[in-house]
Amino acid sequence: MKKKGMAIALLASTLAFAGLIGGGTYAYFSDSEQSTGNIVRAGKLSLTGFRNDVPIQGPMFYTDSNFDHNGSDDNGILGTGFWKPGDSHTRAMFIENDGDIPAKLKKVYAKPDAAQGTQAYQDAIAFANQARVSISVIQPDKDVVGFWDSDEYAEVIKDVDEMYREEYDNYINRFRALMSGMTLAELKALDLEAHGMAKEALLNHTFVLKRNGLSNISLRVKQIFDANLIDLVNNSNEVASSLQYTIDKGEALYFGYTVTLPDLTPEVNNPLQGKEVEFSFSHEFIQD
Amino acid sequence: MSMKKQFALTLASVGIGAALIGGGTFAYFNDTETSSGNTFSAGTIDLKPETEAFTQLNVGPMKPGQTSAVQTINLSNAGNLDANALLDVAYTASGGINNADLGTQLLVKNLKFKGTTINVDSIDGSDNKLTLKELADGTAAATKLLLGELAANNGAGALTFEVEFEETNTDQNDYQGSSVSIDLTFEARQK
Repeated sequence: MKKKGMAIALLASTLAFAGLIGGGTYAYFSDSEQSTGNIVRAGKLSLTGFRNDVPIQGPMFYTDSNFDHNGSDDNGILGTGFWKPGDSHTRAMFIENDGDIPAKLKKVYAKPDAAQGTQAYQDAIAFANQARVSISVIQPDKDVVGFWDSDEYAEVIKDVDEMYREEYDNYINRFRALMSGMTLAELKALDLEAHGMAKEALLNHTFVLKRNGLSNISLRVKQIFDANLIDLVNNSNEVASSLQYTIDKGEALYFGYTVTLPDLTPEVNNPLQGKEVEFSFSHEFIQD
Repeated sequence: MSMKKQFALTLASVGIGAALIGGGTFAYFNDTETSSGNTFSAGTIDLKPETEAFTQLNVGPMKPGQTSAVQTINLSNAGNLDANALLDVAYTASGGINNADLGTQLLVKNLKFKGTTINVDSIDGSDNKLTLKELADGTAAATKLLLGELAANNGAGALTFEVEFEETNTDQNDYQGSSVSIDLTFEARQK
């Protein structure tokens, strides 16, 4: 590409102007060049997501474990089973930046998959009112460069799952004998305290990702959301500024979702029996 | 899809910085990644038989010293979650004279669930004999008697017991013609 195209254009217009003033014609040298094929390319902000257990696209949470490589009805190998009050499950997904500009995490939100106004939607809202969700980002605790498989990360999410459940259950069990005499408000307060214990343990723990034949990587958990599922549905949940992680091109973030269904009064628990609800969990990224 | 993911990570603490200025809308690139179809299926506990389907027990007429036949109540759990069966007992006494409460004279014997004897030491008093009255008093709503497991998907269990009209070797004539109407409330609770 030659740069002189533009300069010559200016010159030509100046000469032409001068030519008009005189009224006659003049012979002059001219040359013209064109800088062609210049491209202005917008970067692509693009992300893909996939979860941690088996290499198929699919939801993080599903009931039955089945994966027989038949494709169409495969769920995965980490089914939750049926939910009952007191249950807690942690599942995970990767989000990879497969575009070419850095992407910054801006918002997280959830939506029932059912259409508004349907019974299925109402059931989902009832579940969301009771369930709690915390969203974590699980990351190396210092700059690392390396390769590892998603199934090596899957072992870490199992550790997170067990730790959260253990801490939560241990706290609840200390008061279990008193629970049948508690009011709804007291049971909710107990649930909140138990979550506080689990969260503290999680944030203070260094998890270890073991790689085949390579050195271990230390991982830490940062919670970017921790409230009732209904709060993830109802609000535009902008992530706190210190937690708006940026994914550079080719990098990925590992998200952990912990959903807990607290054990409240029979009047609150029992209407959920037999209900099957579906949610989408979304993450909005913007250019960095 | 290749499962190896490359991580060249800088743990950046991202501040909002100059990228967002003031309020209002402005054009920017964004992309949203969604995990959809996340399913949460709540389990069920379904105790059978339904209340109206119980076969009423009808024991009597009894005299002091007599023991009834073994009474059997069959329970099952048609839900998909394992449950424990619990029992609370209440009764009303009627008939007889002088406010006779037949429940003080009836012993509940060999109380078993799925063939296993149920421990009633905490409610049967120092004589280790469980009267119907002690059973009712000991199983108020907050202190139901734990019977045993009813497994998911039609796990079943039978409650069995006999009733003995205790011979107290005293005058029990006040109880002639008296009766008790007993309500057995079963609860199946998630394990």
